Amino acid sequence: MSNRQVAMVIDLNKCIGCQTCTVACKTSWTSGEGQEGMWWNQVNTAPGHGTPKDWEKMGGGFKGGEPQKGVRPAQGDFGEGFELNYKEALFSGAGNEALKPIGEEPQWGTNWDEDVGAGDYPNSYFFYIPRICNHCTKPACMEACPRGAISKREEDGIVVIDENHCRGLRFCQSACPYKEIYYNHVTGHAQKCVFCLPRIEQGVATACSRQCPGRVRFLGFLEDEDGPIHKLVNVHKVALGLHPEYETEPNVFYIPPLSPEKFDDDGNPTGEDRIPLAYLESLFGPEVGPALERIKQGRADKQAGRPSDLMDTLISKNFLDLFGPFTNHPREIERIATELEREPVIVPPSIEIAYRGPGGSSQ
Amino acid sequence: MSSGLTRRNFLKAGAAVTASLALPDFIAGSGQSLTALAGSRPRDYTKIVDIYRNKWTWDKTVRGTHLINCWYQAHCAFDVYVRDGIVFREEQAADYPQLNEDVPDMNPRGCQKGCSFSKRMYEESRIRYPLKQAGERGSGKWERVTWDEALDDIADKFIDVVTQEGTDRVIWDMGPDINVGAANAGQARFAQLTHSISLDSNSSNGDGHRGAFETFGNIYMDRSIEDYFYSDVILIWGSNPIVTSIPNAHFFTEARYNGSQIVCIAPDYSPSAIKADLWVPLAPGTDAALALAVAREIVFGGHVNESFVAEQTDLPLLVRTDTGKLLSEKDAKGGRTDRFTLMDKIRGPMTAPAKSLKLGTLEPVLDVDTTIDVLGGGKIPVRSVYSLLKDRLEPYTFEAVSKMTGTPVKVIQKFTDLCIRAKALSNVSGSSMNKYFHGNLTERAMILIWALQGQMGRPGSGYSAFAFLANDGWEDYVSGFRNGDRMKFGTDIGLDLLTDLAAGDTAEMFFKKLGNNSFKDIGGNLPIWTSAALFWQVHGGVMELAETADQWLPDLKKPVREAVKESLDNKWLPLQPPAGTDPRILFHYCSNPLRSVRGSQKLTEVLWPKLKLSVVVDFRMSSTAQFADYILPAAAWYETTDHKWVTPLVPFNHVTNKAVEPLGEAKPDFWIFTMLTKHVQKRARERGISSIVSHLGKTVRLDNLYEDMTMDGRFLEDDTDKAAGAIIDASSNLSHVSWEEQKEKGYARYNSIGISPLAIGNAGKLEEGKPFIPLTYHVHDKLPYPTQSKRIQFYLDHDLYLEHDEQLPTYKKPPKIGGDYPLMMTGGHTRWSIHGVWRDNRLMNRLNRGQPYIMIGIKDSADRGIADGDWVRCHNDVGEFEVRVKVTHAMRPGQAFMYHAWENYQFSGKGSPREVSPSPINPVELAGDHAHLKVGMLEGQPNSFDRDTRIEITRISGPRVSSDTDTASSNDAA
Repeated sequence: MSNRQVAMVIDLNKCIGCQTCTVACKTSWTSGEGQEGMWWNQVNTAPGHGTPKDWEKMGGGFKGGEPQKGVRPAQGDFGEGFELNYKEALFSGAGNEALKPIGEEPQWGTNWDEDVGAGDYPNSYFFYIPRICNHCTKPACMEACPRGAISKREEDGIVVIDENHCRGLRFCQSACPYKEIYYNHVTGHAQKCVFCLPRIEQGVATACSRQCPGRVRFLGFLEDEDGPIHKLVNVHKVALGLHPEYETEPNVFYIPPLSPEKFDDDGNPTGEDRIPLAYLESLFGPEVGPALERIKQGRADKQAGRPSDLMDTLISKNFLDLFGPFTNHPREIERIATELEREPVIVPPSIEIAYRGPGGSSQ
Repeated sequence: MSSGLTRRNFLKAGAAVTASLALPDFIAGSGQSLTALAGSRPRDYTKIVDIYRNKWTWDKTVRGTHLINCWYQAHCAFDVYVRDGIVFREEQAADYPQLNEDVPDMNPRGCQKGCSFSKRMYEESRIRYPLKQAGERGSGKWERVTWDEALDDIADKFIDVVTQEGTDRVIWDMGPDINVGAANAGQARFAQLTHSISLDSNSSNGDGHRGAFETFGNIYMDRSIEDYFYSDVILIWGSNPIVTSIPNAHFFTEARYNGSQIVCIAPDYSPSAIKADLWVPLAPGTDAALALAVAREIVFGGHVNESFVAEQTDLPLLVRTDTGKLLSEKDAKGGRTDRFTLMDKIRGPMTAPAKSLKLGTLEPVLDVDTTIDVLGGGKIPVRSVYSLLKDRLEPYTFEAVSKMTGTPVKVIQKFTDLCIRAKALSNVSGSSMNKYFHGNLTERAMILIWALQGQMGRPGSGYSAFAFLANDGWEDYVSGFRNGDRMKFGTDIGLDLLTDLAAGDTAEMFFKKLGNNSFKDIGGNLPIWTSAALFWQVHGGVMELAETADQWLPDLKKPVREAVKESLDNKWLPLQPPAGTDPRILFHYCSNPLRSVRGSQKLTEVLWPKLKLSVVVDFRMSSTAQFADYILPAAAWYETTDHKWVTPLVPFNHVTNKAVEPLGEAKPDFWIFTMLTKHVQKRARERGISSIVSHLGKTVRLDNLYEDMTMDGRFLEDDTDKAAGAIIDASSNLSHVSWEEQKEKGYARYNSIGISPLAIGNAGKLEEGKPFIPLTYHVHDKLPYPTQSKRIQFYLDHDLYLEHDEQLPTYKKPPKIGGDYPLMMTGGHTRWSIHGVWRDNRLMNRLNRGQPYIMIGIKDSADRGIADGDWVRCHNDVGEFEVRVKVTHAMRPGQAFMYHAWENYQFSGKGSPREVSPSPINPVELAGDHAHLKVGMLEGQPNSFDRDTRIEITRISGPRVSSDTDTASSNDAA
């Protein structure tokens, strides 16, 4: 369907769970009305429940080519975009009320199980995994939408929800096996990652990629044989899709994580990775073991003073080498004008404190 | 293609709070095949793109940064995007140059906090106009007042205090916004002109690197971040860079790909451990034992770099075993008391070189145990420090240390092996060790690993301690540019400094002595500093929490109170104002002691009643601001133009440019301090007061304060930009790039470490195209160290150290501070805020549970019947607090973990985490009256501790659901 396909590789050896990508996306696209609980990019600690909670058990996607029943997550599964009681806690006297979410005490939220992990101490283990819409080659969301409001662009393969046609039926949320579609209760539309369309069309890397201080994300066109994506996915074969068994052919790939060696029952080092291979295989499929071995071989080559194209690619000494053709600077591009009215920047209302006049009240 | 449902009843059907398989969902065949769809769907998505293009619109971008002490992470150049006069987002500029071909470039830098400051700056917690407390402190009865009203009242109270009681009753407490730029030049100049006291809070925060200070006479030493690429073994020890060094962390993960091995030593499986090759688990507070095991193996395994040790360390120096003191030249053969003796292979006892470390023809013997003839006849028994060290190290076998630390022998062996076989060994410095009571011993033991092997002063190799790099023009500004010549400046504050310089002191030693003098009753031409830690303990009553310290510290020779009195009476450590003289005015300059000081519950009880005035200058409501008399709103960092100090890790001066007008009536810090002097001058004239005599016996003019502050109109209140530029122009290490260019670019690379006392200790050359390596002036150019022995010093012969058997590094068990309770509450800097600044921000809260939590492990929670999300009471003999629990697989049994900087106002019920950490002073840190163990800028002071805190955790209830009757009060704890 698409002539070209943008793709992303996310290096889980470099992700430090800082959520800068999450916030970069938030300030770019989801600071509007009804979007308080939206995080089109999130970073979860794995193993963990993920965002939305237990999304891997919510179905959707395909099996043997057949669409699978899926569950639509509720906002609470993603975490509420709660407000805080600033006036009561901050301006009404110390100890009056604690600063906390207004409403029910949260029992879940995005990133709730940060750093919780799994394993029996001292064989605890975890890693961080950023997720966005995978802009799949076979998008289950697109097939599910009865309004035809979802389409996949020919020029770059970005999957887009047309808000003019969307009526908030939310079949897309059930269908997406990655549960990367949100629902805006105020506007009545489904909304999701747009792969930073206005940036991509101007040759600027996505906000989540460019702003990542860990230098975790590679961008490029999947078919571009000179680019980093092709190299990591097809040549070195170290970049794998998440849950390939969902059969949507995701275009976001992951470099699987190494881990410090595990201890035996006496606490002695064993030389084995502590993240169980079976767990990684459940995420990335059977190729993950060989991928890890290739990464380790690359390190060994470097340690022995031998060259390693794989390591050099993953290190990417020049920041801009991460982004294939998307190396323009965001502040320097010519922005494309639209006829739309500008959206106001939403700022919270201030807490008013009265002026008592000269002299004030007595102390 | 309609599903047959109307939108309204579809929404009703879908409105169930929990997801369920019963809802209508992705029905096979409801759509058509993808190919068919491709044909039939409207292809016009231009409009959607327009919606998003419209969102990504701005009027201008401005180079900005965040003038906040993120310290090891500082700093990051941003573009600030403004739309309709509001900052709508920011994005890293990501245009730093690559240092050289060998190493990754620094881009993009930044973190989630910086990338959301555009949201943080507009939140409700922003102070928009001056506020006055109309009721009791803490009552929240805020009134809005005008700047004139606030400043007049503050000026009057200031005048009252300095005329009636003294200039040393006015205290400046500085927080993480101090920038060594215009903002705190304003504050420092005010303090210097009025002889008010500034609190040096580095050790009070627990960042004092006491062990490095005791060993090097200097804490300032860190490398450039690229240097890690040259290191084949990187130790993450006492730090958590994956969480607290976000913009720099990629250098570690990339070094790992490049073949470097990473070892993380920590009690819990920390977020930094996940990136290591080897994680060394150990019981918290036992790190010194581990370090000594490695040191022992280096010594007894024949891995000592003898030439390095003989030249650069005190290990060959002789100690008189009759007194335990270093054998001075005077005692050995007549001469100086500040020169010491080594045993030359051929010539016997010789004076160790002091003006240079060059040995020349000397060949020191390392291992000496003998008697020597001394001046005046007689013999004395002597041993070299090395010989004594061997005895000290002997017990720290792998087996013995395994018992002390709980780390298996094979893990210790593997770790030791890595430390010894490393070609270039480095550490990632942090502030964790400083917060353990025996952190000084730990750091000294760690440094042994590098010093014994000569792992210092070359690419990828060396020990990093405290990181600081600043422009050196700031002090000139603060002094009013009166003293163009620095040496002349020196004559105003102590001729002895010049004499010492002539006698062979290095520039580093000169500036350290200058720093020391600024804590004493000298001059009035220097800012007047005092140790914040001592200040809070003595004037703030925190010391009262340590009355039962003897129960926690078996080693204690006398009550803490008496140890402090001894130090103050003997003037080992100066305190201003003196004990018994009450502070009266406390200015909190973006500082938050009620949140950050361990034992802060004492401050409102003991110190606040003494204060006639408490003023907070900040841009947000903090725990301390809640108890102020006045809050003066400071401009946020995109609302002013200024620059900020950094560290050698990222040796670039960073600039923020004013992007938008300050919110409400907020003003830049520099304006606030200048206007304060204007009002003091006005009120002094109106009240007929011209000048006073300060507590130093010198004249302070009040009726001319504004003229003096502004340097006769040269830098008026609106001249933040001009002042910032003047500071750059006066700097030897930054003036090579003009201020205009720096503003335009957003940053400029330093061209040298410079001569500020806050940086000179790095003692190395900052060169183009090379990472900075500290201490090369000592290691390669053989300049002596600013220590008693002029060498890296492991033997401390001060009586306090001898009394406590700390003359050499040793391992002491972590004391049970707070009482004999089963859980040790450690902590760390959070990912989610820099100090308290983002703790009240929505986005950070939504991404991190929205409320404070304490982390405990699977077993400890199960044993106590505690589940994730439960409410618990954490308590010990000193205090308590209520908090929710996060249960994690990563936590060590017996360890509880409380990330830092939650505001007091985020805690329900009684207390906050600081209240369980009484932080008794470590008596050896009260030492003074010693060649290098004495107070200095950000160093040489008693530290604050919290990592040894013992608590018990008791379940109160499950999550507090409003309809739930199971919300028991803390009285009902199980």
